[in-house]
Amino acid sequence: MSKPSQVVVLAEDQRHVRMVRHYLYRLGHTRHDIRVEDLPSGRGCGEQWVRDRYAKAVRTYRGRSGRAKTALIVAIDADMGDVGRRVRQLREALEQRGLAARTDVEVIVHLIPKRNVETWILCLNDRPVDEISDYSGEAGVDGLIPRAAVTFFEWSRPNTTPPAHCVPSLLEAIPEIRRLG
Amino acid sequence: MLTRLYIDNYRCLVNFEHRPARKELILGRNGSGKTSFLDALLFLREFSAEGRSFEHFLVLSQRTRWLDRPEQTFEIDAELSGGSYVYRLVIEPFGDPPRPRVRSETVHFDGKPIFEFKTGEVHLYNDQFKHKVAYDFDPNRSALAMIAPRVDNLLLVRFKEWLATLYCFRINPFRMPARAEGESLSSNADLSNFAAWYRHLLQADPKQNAAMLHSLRESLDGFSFLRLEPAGENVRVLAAEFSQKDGGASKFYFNELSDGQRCLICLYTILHFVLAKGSTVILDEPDNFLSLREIQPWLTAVAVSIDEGQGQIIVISHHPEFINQWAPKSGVQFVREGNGPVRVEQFRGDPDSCLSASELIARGWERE
Repeated sequence: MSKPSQVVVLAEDQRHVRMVRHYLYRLGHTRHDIRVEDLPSGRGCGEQWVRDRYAKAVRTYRGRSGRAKTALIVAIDADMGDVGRRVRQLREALEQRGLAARTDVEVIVHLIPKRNVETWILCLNDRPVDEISDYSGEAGVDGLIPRAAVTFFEWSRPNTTPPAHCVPSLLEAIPEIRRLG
Repeated sequence: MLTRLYIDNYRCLVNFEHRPARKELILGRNGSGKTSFLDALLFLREFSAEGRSFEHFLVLSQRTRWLDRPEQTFEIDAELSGGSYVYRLVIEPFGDPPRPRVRSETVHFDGKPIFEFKTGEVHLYNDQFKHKVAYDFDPNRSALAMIAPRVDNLLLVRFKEWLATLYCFRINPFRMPARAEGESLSSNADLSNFAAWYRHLLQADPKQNAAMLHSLRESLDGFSFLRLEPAGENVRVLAAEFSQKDGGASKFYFNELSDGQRCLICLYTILHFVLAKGSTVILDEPDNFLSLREIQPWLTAVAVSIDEGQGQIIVISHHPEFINQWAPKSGVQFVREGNGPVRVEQFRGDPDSCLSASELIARGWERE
């Protein structure tokens, strides 16, 4: 039997999953370390899917983290709202199910790209982007994911200052991803 | 890459056309034509590239039961380095009792003929599309399969070689001996010649073997390596070595491994030796025998190989893990209305996002 998964990924789309996977590979994880939860069957409805499953994923994480090294990565687009709005929605999802808010020591990582993950992928490939425009239909984005993940790894290293063109939501994600240790 | 398949008058495939993507999951209820799709591809590979005559196949009895048309048509379009190929094979009955024969067999490259076999006569064209030679041929077999490579028919040979490596698998671990009496250049659909095929792959591409063994070490607890041990003149026996906790090692012959372990070895062999080298692979229910723990890592490795390489994979599966991971973006459904002909639809999913793809299918709501 292969060793148990250490990182569970709850994401709204295949591109988020690929981005996270490549980041984790750079961190030294293998395919067996990572378990991706089911993706939504429909298109354009992923953020609701993630919010619906978030509380259950947190409860599962807390149940296991006491006895084994575990991490939960949640990847959900901010879309037209701001990152703080998504964070509030996730916190409310816990409250509604009677769960305590996420603490600073829990390895529950919120990756919330604004406007969407394509914004990050392009930004991490040194493309000038803003958080208002929609880049989801941009050609060739999939091919840029591996390099984006490596750059994200470099920018999130301790004592590293991201460059000036780093978008704010990506800056907010750096302390989040450092929760992985 | 396989870009289009057209089949007419073969089982439930009537005027059937499908344009597969580079990564595709075929879904469909029982009896929806998935197996017929794979069998048609297997027939084309074995008849038109490997040169088996009609005696080796059931042909006329495979015509669509509710039709009264004598001829069957198969077409394959492929995008290979340098251009587009269209292969067309028409089979008709003749004699009493009726037997099948080739009515016509043609290959076009970028719309121009490079090979024609009609009414028992072959016409060959060179790479500049100039007619070179004509000769009579037995309509009981494919004339394309008999084409030998020459300096002026590289385009035609390129297609024939591609067709010969159109890998269709329906893995059956019950029929896999450890003994390899020589090397097999090609694989059987059920991989019953796995040991002999692996013996060939190992010789041909040892670098890929290192990658495959690395993958297997992540998946099979304690796995060390595969070894082909001498067992007589030109005979080898495939064995797997596993390390023990006390530092020792245990050897198991391939037929002594569990069904799931053999399947996993086959799947990573296909990934590293076939898919990673840019071939087209069609897999029928690869999830059979695999533990749930091993499916997502293999699927992930396949997706990476497709993203980073030139390969193409078409998977037929009912497994929820396959469906939930691949159906939302890469799923197509084979559907039949009232047991009529097969049609292909994109998997649409649930726009309200309340159900996973597999649950949607389990409820029969996937086309509502």
